[in-house]
Amino acid sequence: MKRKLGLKVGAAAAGCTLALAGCGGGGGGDDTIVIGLVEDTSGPGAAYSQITSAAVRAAVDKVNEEGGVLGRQLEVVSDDDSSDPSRSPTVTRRIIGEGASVVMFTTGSGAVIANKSVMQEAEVPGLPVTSAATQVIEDPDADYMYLQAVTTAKQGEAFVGAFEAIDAEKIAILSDDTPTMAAYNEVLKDAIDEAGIEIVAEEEAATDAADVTAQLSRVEQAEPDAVLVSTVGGQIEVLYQNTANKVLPEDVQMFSLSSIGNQPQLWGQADSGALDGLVYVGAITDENPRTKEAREVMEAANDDDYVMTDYDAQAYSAVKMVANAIEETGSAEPADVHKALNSTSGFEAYYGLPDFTVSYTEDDHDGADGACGVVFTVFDGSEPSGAWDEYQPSC
Amino acid sequence: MSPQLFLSIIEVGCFFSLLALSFLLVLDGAAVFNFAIGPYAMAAGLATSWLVTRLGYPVLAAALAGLAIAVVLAAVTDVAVIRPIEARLGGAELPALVAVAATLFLIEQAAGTIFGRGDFPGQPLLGFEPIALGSAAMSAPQVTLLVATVAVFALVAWWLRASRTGRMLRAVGDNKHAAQLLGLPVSRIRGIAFILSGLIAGLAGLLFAHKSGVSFTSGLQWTLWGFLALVIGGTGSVWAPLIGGMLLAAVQILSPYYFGSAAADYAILLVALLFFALRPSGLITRKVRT
Repeated sequence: MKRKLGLKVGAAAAGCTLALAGCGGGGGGDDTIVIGLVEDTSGPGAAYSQITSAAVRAAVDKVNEEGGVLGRQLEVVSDDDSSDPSRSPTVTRRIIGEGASVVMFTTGSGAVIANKSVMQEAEVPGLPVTSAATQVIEDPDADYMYLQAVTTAKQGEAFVGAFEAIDAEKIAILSDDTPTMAAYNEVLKDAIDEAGIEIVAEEEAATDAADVTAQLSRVEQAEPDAVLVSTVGGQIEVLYQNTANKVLPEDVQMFSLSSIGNQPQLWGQADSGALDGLVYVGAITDENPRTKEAREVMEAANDDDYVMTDYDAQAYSAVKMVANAIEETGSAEPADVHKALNSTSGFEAYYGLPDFTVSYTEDDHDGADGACGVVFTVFDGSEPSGAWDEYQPSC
Repeated sequence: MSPQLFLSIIEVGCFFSLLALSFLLVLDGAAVFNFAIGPYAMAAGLATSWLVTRLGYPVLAAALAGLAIAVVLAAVTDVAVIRPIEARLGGAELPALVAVAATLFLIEQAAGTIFGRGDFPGQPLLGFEPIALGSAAMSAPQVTLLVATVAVFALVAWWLRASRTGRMLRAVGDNKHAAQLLGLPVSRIRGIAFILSGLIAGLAGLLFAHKSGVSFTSGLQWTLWGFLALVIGGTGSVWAPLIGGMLLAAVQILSPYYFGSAAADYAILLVALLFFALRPSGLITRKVRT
């Protein structure tokens, strides 16, 4: 008897759970619209994910302060996936179960890619805030994933333009041993090869390497005109920059990816003068008036030590774009948000050069309208000083 | 070959050596491979940087606090983790080893929660212009690390040879049961070994963090480096970790220089396998009178 009662209670509980989950795609309650946020607070991407997630929350607060969307407040429902591709889909399913109209990802690209089938199955749009990995929007299961950052392929074209602008004919690439950078470098090297620029040295080190003097000594012997440091950031980036400063001749132009600009804590780790003159692919310039608006919002939401990064601007832009889409379609149902995003055209982004816009169609979820979402930014001393004078990509 | 490569070997070798010495002291005093040594070093470096950059402490005060944290962590590992397990399981080695490995990850995650999960810059204890050595130059943090390493090894060697406690540590290391039968204060000696080990590991982390910063995940890699340096150098002398550390650094830095980037991992793996298979006691072994 007790066993039968237990089974009935269990069945009832399961039924309730399923019913609640079934109602999950409704876009929150009457007063709120749920924005899902899959973040990394404990894994390898925690450093940058937390910056981006904080910016998403600040942007949502700003939208709510201004009256919300469709008269409803946005509510962020988030969870940590540790950038773990095996754990991330479960986290995302739970967030979708909470009624998310759209899910934003600030976690690692590998985890984002692992969520494609989840979004496809749930028919909820997914928006990686900073990822540039084209695999996110490549079939299969890519109908509900939207990229807003400039893809690696377009970044490759931008780099070629920069190399040509300074007459660099011989390039060396320094990288780390992560799969993320291996995939990125393949795309980048294709673009450099196609442009007829010679890659004279390619060196690699572990992200937790103790020393890279050997790698830089080999690069020095190859006599490159420019060196591109292509890492996920963190300690290996600092190690490369510090060692390059000691080993390479001063006239070798150093380039880097966005990581160095988006991790201000790295700047203090670099030796005096090690970053001076370094050019990296940033995404913010105050020449873009919308970036200035985003900066004001982020500065108001943070303390005096705050330094704006590309991630902040991209997060602000993503929230504004989603809010616009919901406003335009008049519904927070995931299917309607998906349709509205698919018809987004010429959305003036809050990052990139002033002309940079984001557009999607049903068949094309690579949102960046050209490479001018990239802003080549130069370091003066130990901090970025603004857009690089020598070259900027056009749209 | 660039002179900068030699300076790098010395710098990295000093760090590996200090970590290996920290391993050796606990191995002698407590017969335990303390894999939490890397996290002690990480905690000292991270705490120092956090106190300076976030709370505005003077570097010296922050460094002392960082060292104190490393010492406390080492003492707690002994008293609260290893001793209770050994007491309950009659000195079985494997459970203590597993517990120490768990402590490694516990300290890492705790440090991430307390200090944050980003990278922190190392804090130079001394500031002066780089010293030119031909076409290379040695920076102030490099000189500090080198001088500190030489001083630590000399002091520990002197302490082991000249002080009563040091001689007792060697006696315990040679034969724990005999030391117990002779009435030596094995428990106190073991505590001192842990504290000294924490202090040296903390100093190593503090002085090496300048190289590329420190984060809460640094501990595991630092543990592995220290362990490998000990495996290569052996346990037969206080100077063995120094030799092991320098050789490990030479392999790590010269192999990618001569054979390409991918060679470093293979070379270290090969060296480790060779030592495990052919000379598991390392280069310098202890001769015990019987």
